[in-house]
Amino acid sequence: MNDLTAYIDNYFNGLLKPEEKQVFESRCENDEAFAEEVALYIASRSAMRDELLEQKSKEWKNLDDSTKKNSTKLVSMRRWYIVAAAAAVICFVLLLIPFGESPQQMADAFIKDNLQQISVTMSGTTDSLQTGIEAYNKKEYKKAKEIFSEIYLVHPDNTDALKYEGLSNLMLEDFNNAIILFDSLAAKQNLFANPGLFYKAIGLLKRNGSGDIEQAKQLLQLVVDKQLANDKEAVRLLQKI
Amino acid sequence: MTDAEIISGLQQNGAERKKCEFALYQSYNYFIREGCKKYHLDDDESQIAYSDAVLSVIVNTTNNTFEGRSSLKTYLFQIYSNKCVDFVRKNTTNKSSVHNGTGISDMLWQLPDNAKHVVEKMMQKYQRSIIAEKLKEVGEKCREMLLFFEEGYSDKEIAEKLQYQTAAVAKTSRLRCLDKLREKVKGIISA
Repeated sequence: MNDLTAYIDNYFNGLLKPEEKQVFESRCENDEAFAEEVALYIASRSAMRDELLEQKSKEWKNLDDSTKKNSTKLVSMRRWYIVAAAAAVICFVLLLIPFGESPQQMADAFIKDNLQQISVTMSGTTDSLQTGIEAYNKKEYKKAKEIFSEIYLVHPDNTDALKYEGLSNLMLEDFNNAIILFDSLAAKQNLFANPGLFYKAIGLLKRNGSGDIEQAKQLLQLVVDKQLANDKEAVRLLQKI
Repeated sequence: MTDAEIISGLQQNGAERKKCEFALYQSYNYFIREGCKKYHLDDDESQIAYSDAVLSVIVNTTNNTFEGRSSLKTYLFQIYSNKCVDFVRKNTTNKSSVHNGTGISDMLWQLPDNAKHVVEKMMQKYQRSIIAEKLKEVGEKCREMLLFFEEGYSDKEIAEKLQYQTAAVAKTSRLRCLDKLREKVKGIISA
């Protein structure tokens, strides 16, 4: 090892005593060969530091870039997790909320809310009709149907008997007969409020055979357009079908 | 990481130090953008100036030159600003001096003005690119040892890292490597 190198190295690493430092600095000014050695020492150390800086700069920049990429990936992944979580929540909510009612369910709901009970009416054949209504309201639909049928047979102008017979058939789930009876009711011209078409539509929705739903929709639309009995209910059903 | 954690980590060896070096770099790397705006440096120049400042903080922290009178952020920003100014000066005064490295060596400032003037003048013939080329020829172990020293590792730490028996042995080896490099550079210059 060159002693001069050690001497210069000690100066720049602060290992010389103050008087030794003074001598060193004085030599730099007055001893050209020595100054040359110091210049080369500093130039070498500077070049090495630049070399190190180049390495470190690259290393840190690469690390920084990859960290940013990872955080971008994380953000991206997090975004996907949020989307997936949102989708799961939506699915869960959809499972909790009942799906749109089927046409049959809508008809059932209408029957349950409106046709379980028949209000007592006054007519010329009060006794028989009341008996039928009582039977109907006691859910004795078969008995009620027979009573209403007999009344209508004897009094073909008694549209209430016809209507109730149709309803009794509806409750007995004899939809074919119910539809025929409601069709007959709809054909009656002299009624103030004729629910025939609407009830027929309910019968079709309940039967749910081929083309029944489409036909029911057309009937309900007709009820709405002509402002027939139960037209508001028809609007509600049309919105749901 | 807090300043204390970074400083403590930088004063250790191995992975912990590496981790803290990068933590320091990453903590204030937004300075790079500020350098671009304030000093009109391009991204690469600003990043090099920033890395240079970080390296100086690391070296000054490991050899206890940083006295902790300010936060690491303030200290780093001060050095970084100076490095940016060096870049601006270099860019505006002599574009061709870019190959001479990042600026005037901090070591020169240790000399009194007259001595500094003499030595600085003599340094002009030693181009950085020549020394860098010769550094490749001193052997991997020498190169590694010399660069460790520039990184702020003491001879004792180098001895531990490169498995020398004592710090004195490590220092002797390091200075031999430095001699080797100097001789190679001298050979080119005198040829």
